[in-house]
Amino acid sequence: MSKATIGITALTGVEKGKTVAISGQLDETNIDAESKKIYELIEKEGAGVKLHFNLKGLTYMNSKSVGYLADWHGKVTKAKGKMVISGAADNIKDILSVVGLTNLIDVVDTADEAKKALK
Amino acid sequence: MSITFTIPAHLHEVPPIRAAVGKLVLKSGHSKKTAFHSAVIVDELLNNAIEHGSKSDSKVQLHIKCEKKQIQITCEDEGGASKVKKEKMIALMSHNKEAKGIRGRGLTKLVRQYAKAIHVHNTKSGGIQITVRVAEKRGKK
Repeated sequence: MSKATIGITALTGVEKGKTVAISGQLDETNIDAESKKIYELIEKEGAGVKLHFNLKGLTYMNSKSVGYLADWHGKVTKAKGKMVISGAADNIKDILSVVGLTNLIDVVDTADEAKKALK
Repeated sequence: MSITFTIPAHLHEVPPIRAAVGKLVLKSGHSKKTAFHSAVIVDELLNNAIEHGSKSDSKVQLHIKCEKKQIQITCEDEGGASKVKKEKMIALMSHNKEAKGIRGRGLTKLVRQYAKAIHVHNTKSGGIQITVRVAEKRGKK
């Protein structure tokens, strides 16, 4: 089974802001289990949640993982919140682009840019 | 350089194969980009073969052939998909159709974007064989 670590911290300076830092690899062996943490977070935070996905340590993600990102974006948007991705490696950005996620979700380079986008 | 993997149809078998293929492609002189694309294709093909083309006691075969200007990846399952699923898969991969749902987007969009050519056909054992050719992509070596 692939290993991924998901850390959730408050995003200081952003009301209802959370940073979700994902490192390792997300694939068919672990994404279903790991995704539950994010669904729980979105439900717990409720309306207006602002999520910053920091993918700096992520070295692989498969199409199903991208699908989950799209679903989380849908739920956050429905709850009048916002979502942004930062720190993705070129390979990961390429996957996000090919599957069409960059048309849906802002993808920026740094955590500072993500914070600005969520304010 | 070429290698064939024959694995039980269990998802946990896939990550080490994915990693091994990436390393093999790099070692055969291709770029990091080509190695990553090959690993992605292997991941998508194997996951699909295991989830939709196999029964619990089936095996899946993966053959990798590294040539100077391309990588050839062939994935074959033993069958286990319903006739409807098989026909749908062949149609999606062969006729450039867009798939609905993220699973389909991975297999069609990602594999098609990274591949130079894709061939799909039924096997005598009732499974599906998918052969993908990946052209060498310029990038860091």
